[in-house]
Amino acid sequence: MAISKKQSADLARQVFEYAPAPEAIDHVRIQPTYGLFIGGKMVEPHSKKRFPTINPATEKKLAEVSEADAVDVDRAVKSAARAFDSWSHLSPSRRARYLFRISRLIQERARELAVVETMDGGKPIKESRDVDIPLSAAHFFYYAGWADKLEWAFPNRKPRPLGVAGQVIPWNFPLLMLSWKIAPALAAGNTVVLKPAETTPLSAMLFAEICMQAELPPGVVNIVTGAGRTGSLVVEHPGVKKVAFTGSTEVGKLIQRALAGTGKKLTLELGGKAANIVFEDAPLDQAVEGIVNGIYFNQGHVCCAGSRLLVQESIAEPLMEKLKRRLGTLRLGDPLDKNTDIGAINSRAQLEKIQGLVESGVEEGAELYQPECKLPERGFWFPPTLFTNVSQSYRIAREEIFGPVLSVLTFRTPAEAVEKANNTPYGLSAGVWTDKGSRILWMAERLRAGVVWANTFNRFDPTSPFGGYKESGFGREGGIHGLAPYLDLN
Amino acid sequence: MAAGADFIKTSTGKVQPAATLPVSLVMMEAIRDFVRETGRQVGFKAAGGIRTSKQAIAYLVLLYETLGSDWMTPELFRLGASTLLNDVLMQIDKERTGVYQSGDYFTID
Repeated sequence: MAISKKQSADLARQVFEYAPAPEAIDHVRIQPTYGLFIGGKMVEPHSKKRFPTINPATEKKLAEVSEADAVDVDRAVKSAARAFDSWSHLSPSRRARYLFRISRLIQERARELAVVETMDGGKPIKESRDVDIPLSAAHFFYYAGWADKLEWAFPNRKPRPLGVAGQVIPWNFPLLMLSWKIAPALAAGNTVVLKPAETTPLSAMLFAEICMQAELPPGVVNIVTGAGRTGSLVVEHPGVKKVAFTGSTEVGKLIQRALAGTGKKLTLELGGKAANIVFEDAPLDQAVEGIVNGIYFNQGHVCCAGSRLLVQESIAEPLMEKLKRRLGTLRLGDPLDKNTDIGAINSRAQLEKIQGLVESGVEEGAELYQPECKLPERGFWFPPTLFTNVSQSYRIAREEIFGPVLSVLTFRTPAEAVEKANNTPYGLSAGVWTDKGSRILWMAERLRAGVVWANTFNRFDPTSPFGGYKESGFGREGGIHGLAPYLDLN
Repeated sequence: MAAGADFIKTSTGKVQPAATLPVSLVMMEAIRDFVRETGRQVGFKAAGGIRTSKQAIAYLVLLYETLGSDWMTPELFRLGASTLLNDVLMQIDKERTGVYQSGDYFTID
């Protein structure tokens, strides 16, 4: 033998130290400043104020976006109200045609959108390229199909649009959340004022370009950027007939309080603390992949993330070993690199929140595990983290962390699993891993969660409704169910 | 493996479909479980259907990600693919000359 076993292992390590594979960014044009998208064109903000949006992986400024004040929001709502009259009376198949056109333009500009999403938000390019953008296009395609079939969607009712929808979306899936909100609203015949999150406004600005490219009638979609104050101006504007919000439970409660008694329709999609439940008969290697996908997908910035892992006691040891080994193979780094599994944390504020909660976990007595992992010097980063020896009462088991942090608990019987899984104020999603079909159904009946995944996690489809129980919100997005909140069905 | 096999192989390679990535993953995971339980390293051979260098690299990546660099030695990992050799030769020639040569320049046995 010319080469020893050790030599070839060393050689392999050298060869398989993957070279950087960054996605090209030279085809993307980000303007230095953006206005507000009102009445079908980009306009200067009345406030004259702008704020920077940065790349969380480098902390470099990408662009300056406008901060809409009360006058700007009022303009946007009025423009939407003016457009509503003609848009809602347009023949439904014509409305569908615009939506189809938008979906095709999203597909055409998919690469550009994916790169912008990754640069502005910090998520790995493989996720924005393979999940966010294709699903956004799929959402528009799906709801385009419903636009002229509303009477079949709701038989024996007279579905009528509501008017102007005020929509506020989060920073974790900027374009996808925009699509979840805008597609059903337009299909149902409403017009829209949307406020994207202040840390991730750029894909919405590109979407404004797409609306212009699609020659969507002016005012049907209006996009106002800004921080929380702009958001509250949108939802509280008297001209808005329907409010849709995705974000934190805290802000959701404020919105619900502000809207009480106004007669506005409201749907909320809020936080979560999902239980991912692994039974002893589950295929462990598959479950490990599901757990990783459940909590480390998009750095854990997912409202339905499987942040609590409930493992049956008998398999806890081998499963933990496999999981820890797998964490060691996750690649953290440049989000634009096609091999990156874990990108940058969205903002400094979010990073500090994650760090605080992780510290509390250590203080309360949980055992911390983080694989060896070099964090880049600039930007906001947090290594994949695993807590064992967690008790149900710890903050890391009760509060939404919204970061790559998994809390592991154990159980003995299915009844105990249900009890522990439901013992949270949230109820957005859950996962069940078992070989036994009857157990999946038994669990799904008892879990108080809007979505229950069986032997998979974080799987989305525009045809399937999504939404929460308890403090995870109310109302559904996706599927036929997602049309109802945008229609007057009486 | 329980009966003492030194290596396991996807199939003879003479039936279709033979080696596929999903099947290889499952077998490698079984090897990983086995070494964890017993400490004994069992080899793996993927045979049949691996015709191009690109495919072979996919198997090497799978191996590296599943079993790690310890398995990346001829004693523990092999590709049974007679067609592959010619493609590897062709790629080497391409690296050397900058152009692809005709398949006719490479003997088939």
